Amino acid sequence: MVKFILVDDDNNELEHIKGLLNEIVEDDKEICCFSKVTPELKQEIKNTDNRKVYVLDIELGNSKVSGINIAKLIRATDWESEIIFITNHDKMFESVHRSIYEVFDFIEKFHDFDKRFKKDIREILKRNFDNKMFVYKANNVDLTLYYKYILYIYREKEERKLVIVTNNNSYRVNMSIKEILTLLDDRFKQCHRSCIVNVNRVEEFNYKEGYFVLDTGIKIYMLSKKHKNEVCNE
Amino acid sequence: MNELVIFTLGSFCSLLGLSYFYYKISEASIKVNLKVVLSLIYGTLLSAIVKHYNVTFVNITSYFFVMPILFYNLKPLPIKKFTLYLIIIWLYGLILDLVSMIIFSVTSEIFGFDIISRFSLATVVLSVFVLIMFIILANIKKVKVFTEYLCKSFLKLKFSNFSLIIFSMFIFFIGMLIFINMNHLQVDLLLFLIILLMTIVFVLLIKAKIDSDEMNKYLNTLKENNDFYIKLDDENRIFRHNLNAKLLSIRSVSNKKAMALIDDLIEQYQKTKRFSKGIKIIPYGLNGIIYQKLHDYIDLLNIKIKNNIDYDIFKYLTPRRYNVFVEKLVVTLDNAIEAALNSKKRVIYIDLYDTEEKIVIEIKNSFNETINVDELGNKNYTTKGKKHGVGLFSIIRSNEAKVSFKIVNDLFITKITTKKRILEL
Repeated sequence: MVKFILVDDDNNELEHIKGLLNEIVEDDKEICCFSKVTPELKQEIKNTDNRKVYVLDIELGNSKVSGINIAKLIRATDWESEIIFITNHDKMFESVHRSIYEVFDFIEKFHDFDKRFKKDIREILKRNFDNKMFVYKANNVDLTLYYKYILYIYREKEERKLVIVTNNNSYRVNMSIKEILTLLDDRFKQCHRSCIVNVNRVEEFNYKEGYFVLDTGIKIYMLSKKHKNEVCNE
Repeated sequence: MNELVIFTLGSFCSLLGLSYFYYKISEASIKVNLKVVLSLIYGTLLSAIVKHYNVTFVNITSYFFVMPILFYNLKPLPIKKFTLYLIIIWLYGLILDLVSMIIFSVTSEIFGFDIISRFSLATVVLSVFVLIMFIILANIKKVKVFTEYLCKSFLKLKFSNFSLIIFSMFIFFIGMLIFINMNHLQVDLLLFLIILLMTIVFVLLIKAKIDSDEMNKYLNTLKENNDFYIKLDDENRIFRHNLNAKLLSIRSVSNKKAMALIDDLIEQYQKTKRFSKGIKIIPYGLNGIIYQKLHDYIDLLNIKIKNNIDYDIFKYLTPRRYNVFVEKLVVTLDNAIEAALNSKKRVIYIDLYDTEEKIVIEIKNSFNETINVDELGNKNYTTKGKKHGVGLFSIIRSNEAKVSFKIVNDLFITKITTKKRILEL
């Protein structure tokens, strides 16, 4: 079941979004509407049992609390739910908040709202809430990464550490291949004795040449025929 | 009587050979004085008498009763080197004696000489042969170099190893004596030797123990001093690194004149640190610091600042806490700006808010780096290169304001929290 949490100070807008959701989502769903931050909403945010989509209006009337504050509250505990912002503003908010709160989209109220909202909801449902996370706690820092952001993981030759490679960064961690495999889901396959790959992010496996090509276009020469069965079973 | 004269002659030759060798090896200046003559006479006579009366035990050891006095009178050397020369020359003497005896035996066999009946004469011939050999060897440069090399190698040895070698040689020597004199060895002498050996071992052990204790004390002191200076150096590096932050902390609550003075100090000592002076009216408190730090990067970074605190934070924090809080904020901001500038997204988000008990500042920034997650925040860990790795380490330390780090989906989040003080009404 998918739960939709709508927060908007305009009741008409709430009804309109509700209508759109009923139109698009045929599966089992629950829609909760709030016009301001209430204890019930806070409770709802704390409860992370269900998959949720938050649709938040950025400006909530005269209230001191904005949609951004609610997003902050959500992300304090829940990085798996999706957030869509509805805004009267132009794109001034977008670049920063999209990164900071992993916002799915910012939709302008008065510019093709229905069309874009429907498209977003369809996209979210299609992606099947792929927001599972890898968590690693070190002495001074906690590392949390969406599985979907991890491209591949390999073992360094010199320091014998694992390197987790994402779109933009790499993270060295003191773990073994075996240990990290237990923390990952089925999309991660061992494709070489010192490499694990996120098969969802791979566009081509070339066993003859011993490489795979990621969706970012990067070619990695860490593909072994020995592990072909493990990868191909997928 | 004739035999005694022959033995005296033989002994004189032997002593002359040994003295000449020592004289050449030790590079002594020619110094024939009364002491040398007397010690030569004493040595010659002692050796001759010992040989004449066939006192086997003293015969073997006579070298060590005679030669130290003679050598010392020729040229006194440092005790360790002197002992080494004494032993080395003795060993050479043993080898030459052995070689000469073999040659003499073979020659006698070939030409049919009866050595036993002419023993005293044979002794003189052998002594003369050894004298000639010593003179030849003393003038061969390679022998001198080899002897010096041998001596230097021994001198490099630690006292314990040196003692062990000397002691082993002593044991070997004593063992040899006992073996030779087994038939007429007295119990008193044996006991004396055993007690002597035990005493030597005991003294050496005590010496080694004292040396070891002293060495341990020395090493501990050295380690303590080393640790102290490393710590001092770290503190110095942290102080220099965070000086800008400390000055900005004072600056944030200063009047215009004080600000000018602090700006001058910052310019003087922190030339590499960047902070904007292009703002005409600098806001008071933390806002001022944040704006001044970020002003130059407005066009380069996607910056969002959210400040939910509309009161003077300084009033809610003790001076110490305020200083620490600002210091950590500035260091974090410096790191965040540098990391964000090198990233694709170039995002910095600053969120300042409070709860009933705490004041919190969260700084989120994008970055593009390889991070060693387990090392982050440790001393000297850096992604920037040499002479870095102080910043994050320094801000973790003080408990006046707590700092925590998180990395969430390529976003670096630093949270600085400090407790408010209860204001008196």
